[in-house]
Amino acid sequence: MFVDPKVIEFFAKEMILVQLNGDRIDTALARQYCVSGFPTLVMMDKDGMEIDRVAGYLPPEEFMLTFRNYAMGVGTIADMVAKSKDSTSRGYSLQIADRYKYTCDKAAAEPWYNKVIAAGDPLDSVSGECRTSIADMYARSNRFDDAIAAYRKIIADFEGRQAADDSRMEIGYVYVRAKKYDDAIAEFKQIVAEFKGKPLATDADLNVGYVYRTMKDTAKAIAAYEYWLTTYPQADSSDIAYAKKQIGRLKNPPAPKPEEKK
Amino acid sequence: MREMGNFVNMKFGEHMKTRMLLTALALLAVTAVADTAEKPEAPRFYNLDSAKAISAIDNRPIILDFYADW
Repeated sequence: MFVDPKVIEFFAKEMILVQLNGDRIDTALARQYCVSGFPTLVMMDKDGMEIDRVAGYLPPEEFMLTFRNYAMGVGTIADMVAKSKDSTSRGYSLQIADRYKYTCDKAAAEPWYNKVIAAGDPLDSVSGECRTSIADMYARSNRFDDAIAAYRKIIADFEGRQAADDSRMEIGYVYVRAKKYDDAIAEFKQIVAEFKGKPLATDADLNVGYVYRTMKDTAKAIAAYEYWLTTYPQADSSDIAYAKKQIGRLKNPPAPKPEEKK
Repeated sequence: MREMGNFVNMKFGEHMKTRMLLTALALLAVTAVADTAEKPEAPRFYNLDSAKAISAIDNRPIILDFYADW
């Protein structure tokens, strides 16, 4: 939903906005455009050719600037790759890799991540970020076994560091993507047991409700969120609000918007 | 000449019909926003073909916003 007055004017005068429920209704189009997360905004020219895309949220000014630049061919992946010939920056290569990861050409991200790793310490935090991104790219490409193997290797190589902790949680998410829900719950529960009293355990336990919700097991999802609320009363307020919101939605599912009834 | 005249008229008529259809679609989209939203929102479509038809006329780029209502 775009409510910022400048963004409303931007769409009224400069762009044509098409809103597509990629999760429940327009799933075929989401597959066609290789959407692997929400929100994803794909910019197309009048002939229907993709210009570029934005995955995730941006502040209003940056959002408008990004798409205005794309319309002029500035800041697109093609433009960045052309300019990379003059750059030896790890950060610049990382940006290109991250951009490719959300396109239909996900595999093109891997050589750029490897370039970043090769340009520095293979066990520093940037390399850890690249390694987790490669594993994430595998998951988004439905290469679930490759993704899990890559995350397990990161856990071994980066023990006790952020990349290892992130990878523990990501394995659970990969199992969800692969629809291996029992494995996902087992993975999250294992994290809860191993990291008792730490934030990672709190987050992992919250994900149990998410797995049941994805499985459409409403009763177990509600029970999991209610258990989480009573077990972690000191958790982050945004997580508490999220859990309460999910319980509300599970008990009273929102009706589809009138325009979505196709 | 007669055939050419008919051809021109037909094209003009079709052009007018297309414009009216697209205007109606645009109004529908805006009305849908007015009906369902408490706050003002961006004018939007829910159908890619309608957006492509508008884009072909006024040359504005299209942005597909894939969202999930979690």
